[in-house]
Amino acid sequence: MTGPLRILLADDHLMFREALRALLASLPDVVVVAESGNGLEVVELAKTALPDIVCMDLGLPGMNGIDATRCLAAACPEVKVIAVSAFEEKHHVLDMLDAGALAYVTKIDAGTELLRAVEAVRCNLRYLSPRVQALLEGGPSESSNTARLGARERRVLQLTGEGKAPAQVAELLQTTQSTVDVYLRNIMRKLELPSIAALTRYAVDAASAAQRTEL
Amino acid sequence: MKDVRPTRVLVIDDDARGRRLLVAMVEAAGHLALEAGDGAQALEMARQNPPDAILLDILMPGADGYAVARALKEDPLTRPIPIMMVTALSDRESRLRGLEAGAEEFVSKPVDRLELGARLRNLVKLKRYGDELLRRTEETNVLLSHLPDAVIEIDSCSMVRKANAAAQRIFGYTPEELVGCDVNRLMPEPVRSEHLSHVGRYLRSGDSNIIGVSREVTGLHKDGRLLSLELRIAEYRAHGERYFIGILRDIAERKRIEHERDSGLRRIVSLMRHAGDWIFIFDADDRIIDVSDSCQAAYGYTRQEFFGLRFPELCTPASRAACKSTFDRLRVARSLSYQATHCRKDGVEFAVHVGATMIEVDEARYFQAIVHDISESERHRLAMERQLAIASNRLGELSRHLVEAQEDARRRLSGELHDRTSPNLAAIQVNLGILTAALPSSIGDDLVTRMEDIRALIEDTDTSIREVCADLRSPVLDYAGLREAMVRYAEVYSKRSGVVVTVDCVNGYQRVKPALESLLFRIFQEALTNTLKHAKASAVAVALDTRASSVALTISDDGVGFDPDRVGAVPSKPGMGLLNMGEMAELAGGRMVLSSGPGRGTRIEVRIQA
Repeated sequence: MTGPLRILLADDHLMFREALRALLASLPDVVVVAESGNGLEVVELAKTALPDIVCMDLGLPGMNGIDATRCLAAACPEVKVIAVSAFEEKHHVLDMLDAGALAYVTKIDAGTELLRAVEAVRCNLRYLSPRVQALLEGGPSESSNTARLGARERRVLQLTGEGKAPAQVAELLQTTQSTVDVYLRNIMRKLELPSIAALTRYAVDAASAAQRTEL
Repeated sequence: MKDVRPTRVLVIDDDARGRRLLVAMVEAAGHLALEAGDGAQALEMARQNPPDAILLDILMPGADGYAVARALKEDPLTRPIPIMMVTALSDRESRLRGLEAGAEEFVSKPVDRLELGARLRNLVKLKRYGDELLRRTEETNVLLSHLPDAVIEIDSCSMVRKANAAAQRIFGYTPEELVGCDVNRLMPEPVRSEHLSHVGRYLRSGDSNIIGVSREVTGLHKDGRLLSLELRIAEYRAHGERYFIGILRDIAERKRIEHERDSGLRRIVSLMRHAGDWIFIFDADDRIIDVSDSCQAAYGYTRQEFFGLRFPELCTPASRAACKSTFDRLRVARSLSYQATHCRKDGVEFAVHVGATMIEVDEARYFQAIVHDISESERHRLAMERQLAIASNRLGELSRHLVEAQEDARRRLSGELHDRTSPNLAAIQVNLGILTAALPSSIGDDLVTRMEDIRALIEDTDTSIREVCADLRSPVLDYAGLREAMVRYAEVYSKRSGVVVTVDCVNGYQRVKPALESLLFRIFQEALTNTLKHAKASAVAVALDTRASSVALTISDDGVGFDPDRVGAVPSKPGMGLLNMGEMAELAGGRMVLSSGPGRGTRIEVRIQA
């Protein structure tokens, strides 16, 4: 492949689109060749702007992202589509993949996940952000459990597993207890644990497993 | 009845040869012959055991045939025995003498066997008729003398021909005193004069409402007392004459009882007659026999007109049958109250309350009904009902409107959060990522971790917005329909609560109109919320049938259940919306059936026309 990677951004939310443009600008060999906030326009635009990748929102006016992807797949089959959506529902994901998208990334994770998606898609690989992956698998897979957590989340989990109360964790991490609560909630969601008690149990198990591995 | 006893014929002749000849002839005719050689012996035998006929020779020494015949006819015991005289003399003289002596039949010597047989048969037949007549007369006399009713027979001139013992007991005259007298001596004026004209008119015109009809008349006793009598007249004809038999019964006792009963009733009625209430007294046949004064103005009937009516006839024709069955109950219950619609004489209908009670006067049953006009309160009640219906209708409309407005607000709020707030957060998140990456490494861990805290906060906020969105309006519901929305909600619910939820679609699934989908989804949500709050269930089974003419949603759990009768006792707080599940179902023109019992889990079934 010669020349920089050409990307078309399709999203009607301007602020978010600009954020994506800024994000992609950080990549050395990527150029945003066109932008649009209308599904119908995206298909037309793609014919002239000749992008390699279209980052497609789902809730577009004019024509929704799923239909636009289907049209695009028919009109320009070589164009790869990455869905960037606020929808976090199985059906949206499946329908989007069915329409021809190669990747699906939720907007809230786009900051990190879109870059991974672009890397995968340019090598013609499918990519689903961990959240989406979990959605399709019906639960988090064992291997990706802790991989889905950020560094600070892992630290909170580890301290909790060592028997630290949230107040102690907050002190150790030099932050407030309410922030620790936020982390605990995020961890619960990511690992799909139903309660704080379940999270604590999980953390303790993980800690003792880690100890065994060290021994 | 055929008499099988052989006929006994007494043959009387002094000449043994002639007697044997007669005996032979009698026996040849099939009769049993008895023999007597002279008059004295014949009389003795006839008295001892009366024969059916006597064959008597005229010419005998001593008492001749005439003397024997006379003696036989003088004795009441032997008088009915028919006598046939045998005479050599066929002259008119001797036959006349024989008839005078009482002989019924003659046969001349030399006796012809066949003639004797034929004449004997006739004679015996006559005897049998005579016997039967005597028996019947005796029977009639015994009957008449033992009858409690007076029986008096008169001819067409009103002359008494017969009277029985009861006639004497009732009127004071012996039968002998009455027979031959004009029957009008048993009647007081003016009955006496009327009697004559009645009889006259009857004889002329045959107007038959006298014969066979019983009526009450006044009679006159020998001592001048007036008598209360019931009279029935029968008529017969004989020999071209017309005879009348009057059968009279003394009804003084009955009249006295009736009178006492009437006066007892009158006392009861007089106590109530001037009361403002409408009071009716009616008998066991429902015939009105008295009313209070106020009834006349209320119903427009005069007292006399009331007396021609039965109490149930005051009801409107439409309600009469119901009224009749109410009365059947009254006879058993003795007292009851009910509501009915009565009808004035002029046709105006009005609602009434009736309190009816059985009253017994001298062992006779009557009923007393106290009637109140409730048409005013009934009208009031109907007006209230109408107003209530209007109000509840309006309330229903308002609620429907409210539900729609609420659903609309949810949709808009959810749209706003989803289309703007959530992407805003995402944009912030992406920008923060860019910012974090751009920070120089000299900036220090503290700032980096602080950035990470902010990003965690944003993620948490995004999650909570997503949850709020899902609660406000399931994105899947609009996108993929009710079944998928329920499945998705159930997944999240199961993860959060540990309760296993299965969603089944009976007969496959087809989408129904959006308003109905969102309503069913709300009911489903509320049911699951309730299960979590109260049921302590481990599993919930949801079944959806969209193929039937009405959509059916069934949600059953295996929890502790409750007593459905006590639901009303604790006001249930509205869950997902302003209305509870049942009200939501009703607003959509469907209904909800809740079944549960302590320890039996809870089952909710909603059916709504698609």
